[in-house]
Amino acid sequence: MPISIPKASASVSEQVEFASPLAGAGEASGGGWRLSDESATSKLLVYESFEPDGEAEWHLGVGFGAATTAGDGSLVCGVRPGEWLLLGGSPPSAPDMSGVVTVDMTHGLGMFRLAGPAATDVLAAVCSIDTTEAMFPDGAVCGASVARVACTLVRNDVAGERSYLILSQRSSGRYLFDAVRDAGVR
Amino acid sequence: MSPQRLPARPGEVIDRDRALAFTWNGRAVSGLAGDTIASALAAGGCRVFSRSMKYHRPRGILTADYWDPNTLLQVGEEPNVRAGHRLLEAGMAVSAQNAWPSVRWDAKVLTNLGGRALSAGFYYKTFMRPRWLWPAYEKVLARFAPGGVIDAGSAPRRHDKRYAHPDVVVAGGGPAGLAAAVAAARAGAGVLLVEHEHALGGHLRWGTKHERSIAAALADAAQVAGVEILTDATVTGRWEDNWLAIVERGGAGGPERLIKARAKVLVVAAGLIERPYVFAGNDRPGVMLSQGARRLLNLWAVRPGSRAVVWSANTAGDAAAADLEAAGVAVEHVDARAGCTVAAAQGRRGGLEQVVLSDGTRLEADLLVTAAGWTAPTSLLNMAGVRPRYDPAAARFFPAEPDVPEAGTVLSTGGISGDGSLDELVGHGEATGRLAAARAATLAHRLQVATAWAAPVDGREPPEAPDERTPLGRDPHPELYRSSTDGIVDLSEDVSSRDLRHGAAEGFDSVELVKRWTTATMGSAQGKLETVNTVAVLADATDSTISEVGTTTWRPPFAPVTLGALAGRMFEPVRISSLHDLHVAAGMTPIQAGQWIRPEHYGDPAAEVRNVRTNVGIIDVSPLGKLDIQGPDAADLLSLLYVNKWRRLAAGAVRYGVMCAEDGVILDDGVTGRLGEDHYLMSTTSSGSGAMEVWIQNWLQTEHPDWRVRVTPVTDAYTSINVAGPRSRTLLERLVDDVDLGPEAFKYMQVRRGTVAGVAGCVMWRIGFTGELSYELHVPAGFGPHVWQALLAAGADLGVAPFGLEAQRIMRLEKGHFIVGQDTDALTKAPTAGLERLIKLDKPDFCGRPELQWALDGEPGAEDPEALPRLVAVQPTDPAYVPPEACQIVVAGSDGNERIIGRITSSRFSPTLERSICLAQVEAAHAAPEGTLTIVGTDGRRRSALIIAHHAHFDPEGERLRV
Repeated sequence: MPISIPKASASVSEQVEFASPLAGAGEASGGGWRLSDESATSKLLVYESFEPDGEAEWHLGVGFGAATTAGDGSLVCGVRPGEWLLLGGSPPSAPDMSGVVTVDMTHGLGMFRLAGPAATDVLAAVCSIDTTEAMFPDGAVCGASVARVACTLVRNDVAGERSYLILSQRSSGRYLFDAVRDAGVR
Repeated sequence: MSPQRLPARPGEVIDRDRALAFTWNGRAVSGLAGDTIASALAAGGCRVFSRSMKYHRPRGILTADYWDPNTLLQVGEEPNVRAGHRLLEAGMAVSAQNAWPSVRWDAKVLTNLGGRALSAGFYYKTFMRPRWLWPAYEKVLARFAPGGVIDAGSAPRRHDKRYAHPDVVVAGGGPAGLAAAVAAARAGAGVLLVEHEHALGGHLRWGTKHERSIAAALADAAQVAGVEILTDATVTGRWEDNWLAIVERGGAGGPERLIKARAKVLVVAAGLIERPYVFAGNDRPGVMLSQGARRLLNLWAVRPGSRAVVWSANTAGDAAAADLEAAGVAVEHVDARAGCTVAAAQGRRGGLEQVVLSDGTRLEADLLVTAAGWTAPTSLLNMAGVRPRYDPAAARFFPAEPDVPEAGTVLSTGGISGDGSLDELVGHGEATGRLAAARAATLAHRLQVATAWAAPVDGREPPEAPDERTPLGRDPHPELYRSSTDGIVDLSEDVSSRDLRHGAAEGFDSVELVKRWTTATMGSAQGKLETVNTVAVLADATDSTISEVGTTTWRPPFAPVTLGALAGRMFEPVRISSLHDLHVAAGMTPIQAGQWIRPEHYGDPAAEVRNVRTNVGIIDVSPLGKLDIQGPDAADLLSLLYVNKWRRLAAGAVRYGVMCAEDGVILDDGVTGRLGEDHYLMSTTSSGSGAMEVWIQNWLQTEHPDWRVRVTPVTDAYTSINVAGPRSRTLLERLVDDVDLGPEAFKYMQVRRGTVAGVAGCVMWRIGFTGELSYELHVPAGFGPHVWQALLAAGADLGVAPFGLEAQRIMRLEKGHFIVGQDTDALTKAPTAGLERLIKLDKPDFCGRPELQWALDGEPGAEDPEALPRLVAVQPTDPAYVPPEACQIVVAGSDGNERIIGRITSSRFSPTLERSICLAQVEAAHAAPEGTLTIVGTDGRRRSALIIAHHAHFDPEGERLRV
């Protein structure tokens, strides 16, 4: 995500690169699973309107515990009752409603994708959530402890392949990535 | 060919083409692939495998399975390996335990000579007095401790862990368990089948050709039905809502893997465990249970003896006799059902030579096979609240009718539930499997309805499934527990029937008491073989019935679990800032603060202090807690949380605040800046950030859900950098375009939003913990490394350098800023820290207000506010002496004795002042400025110190930070 530096007098770089919390880790894979860094994806937290009339949910098209792809391509995830996380889309788009608070969490959350036919087995080594098809289908969203880190877990299959997005606070991202990779390697 | 290895037998599990070399007590021997360690040794003619725990009596194979108490061996570095179960591997170094100099000739057998004196309770009675001699006792007794040898230098093994959520877990892969698993899977349930042995089939594996074919067919059906099968694994514990601990041995997860499974329904199909009979010499090598003999014969083609007496009370014993005869062993078949029992097994040198029957008959034999009855391993059912109930006609315990609602999700089938033909057992298993699947479907429906993220369910809840099982019968069986002679009841712990009788006579007449007094059932077999015999002997001793005595409580674990498996994967989360790699490159010395890894310093903290005081330094303060607060009622929330006022905080201003708990004790502190009309950014202490978020959400969600305010933790969203020092403004002016940094335009305790080094959306606070002109930059974290490097590059000519936590702590102490949790404690109320002026009792309400008002107004019963401890700044008289933190401060009392009046809370040597500086908490009466204190050092020496008027040792007027 390069941006230009307006002040040339300072002896600084002319480009600003987004530094991923997983810098240096990047990609990993094993038998039937892959990890890929998606931290640079924009992430916008949207709260329900102060007037709890359900308008935000109506606009966003999804409630707590589920995710859907919006018209602009962003993934709208109902992370808690009355709270959504909009992943992707550039720039982040929020519903135009009064009383709706939004917070840009792009920099605050690390995010990586665990994908592949063995992804569920890898996850089962570090997370106690029931990921059976009935209990955690494609599009499911929940809060979970992954390797003892509080995370948001999103089932987001790609082209029919099992895939999970794992979001954590940025500072835990590298530890978490390593922990999941280690679970896969073992 | 090994001397006891028989020609190929149908059903054997050994691979005769794969010989495995290993050592036994240092001697080279060999076995075959598929052998257990014990079967390989037995095939080689080994009769004595171990020595008993207390009396060092020779012991041989009893059960030839996991529960065999006599075949615990040392394998390489690993002690207490269950050789009756562990499969042989090439190169194993196997040795006997608990014997010296050898298992054949064990000098410790001398303890057996004093056996009559070494009755139960001997240790308790003998080694209590004199107490001062206990260390000597301990050293001697340790030499007699049983078990193998632990090599403290061996490499740690990695253990894995896994979570599972099957619909149905079936514990036991015998015919009924297999049938249940297949039926449940065919009914649509996700099934996990857990089998204790290395292969499925239960007792059918060492049975007839027909029985083996049934086992194979059921195992194939389980595969086809999609059952997940774990062999060499045990459901070892069951807790509420079928939270199951399954230990999987030697699989892909390492030496042992713990599987934490949440099953909707648990089917217990644990089968039956054969029970030994108690008589004189019943622990002699050559005395074997019928199942042990059949396993040796039919699984590993090992002849357990050449001349056998088979004493049988049931068809299993009869089958053992038939198998032995078919293998060429001379068999004397004694029918226990006719009333004859075994009185003694006799022999020399750890061997069996003669069997004495109750009618006086003496039979020559080197093998005595007993088939005295069964124990139902009801542990998992007991853990679900189902009590065992004794049936004297069948001579065993059965699960009683469940009397707890939760038991509806725990079903039993197979031998544990009753007797029947193979068809009847399989039929019962199938019906149980269907019932389990139906109940699991109902629970799954409820779970899906109740779980926001689950797949939506169509239709109504499935109707409650009827229990269509035909109850299994109960075969009559004679009650055979102890002969007319005494023998060993618990072979693991060397507890005899005589010990149990003596225990009862000494008053330990309940099974729970006598268990603890004698340690019966507390050894490696954990009651599987000896519980019912213990109960029966006690019933006899107390003139009670077995039903009246009842059983001991069976608790998890059903099978032993290594500590490594319980620990599993080691998760130790750490947090790092976006600047971590730059700190490492700069040579930081790290320090762990909570989960955060932070730079303590970069080589010389004193030099870092001096650079900040003279030039400019930058410090990574990203762990500082940060909360984004938005909404029309945000000011109300701040007023509730802080002890001071917030409603008139202007946009663009920053204010310091202190939070107290309901009891007036300081909880946290920090600054909050007003970014916009209804938008604030709050900072908390680094260590308190998580707790403060919970604290605030608790107030919002429970007390003021009507308030229109949103609180979002954004600690990680920003890389926070404090730029401190007299040249900080000059440095920032080179990187900031859109904010006027002039002293009038951007004053102390103000906030601005702008662009730093090309990064928009930065929040800048003009505050500082160091006492210098400083700016705290909160930069979108993904651009943090860029801004940090830009600061270093742009300020090279200004002497900019990073400084660490230690330098910051020195400078904050020079300025007298306290740290919550270090200079305050769980009793420190706001006035203690000198914050009286901050507390605004004239505002309507805030957390801690009633308590603080009570204290400050001197209400009846309240502690005198003047008597509260005070936080004071202290300078030791010796400027070079830095008292360690937590040193006591004392005063001489009127009686001549010293009294503790406080403690040093923070102390450092100040590079700026070139002297030691401290903060301390002392009683109010001794806290007056210019007062003298006495500090007790860790060396016991008393040193004097002076209280100074202001908390700040340096620049008390704050002139440097307001420029």
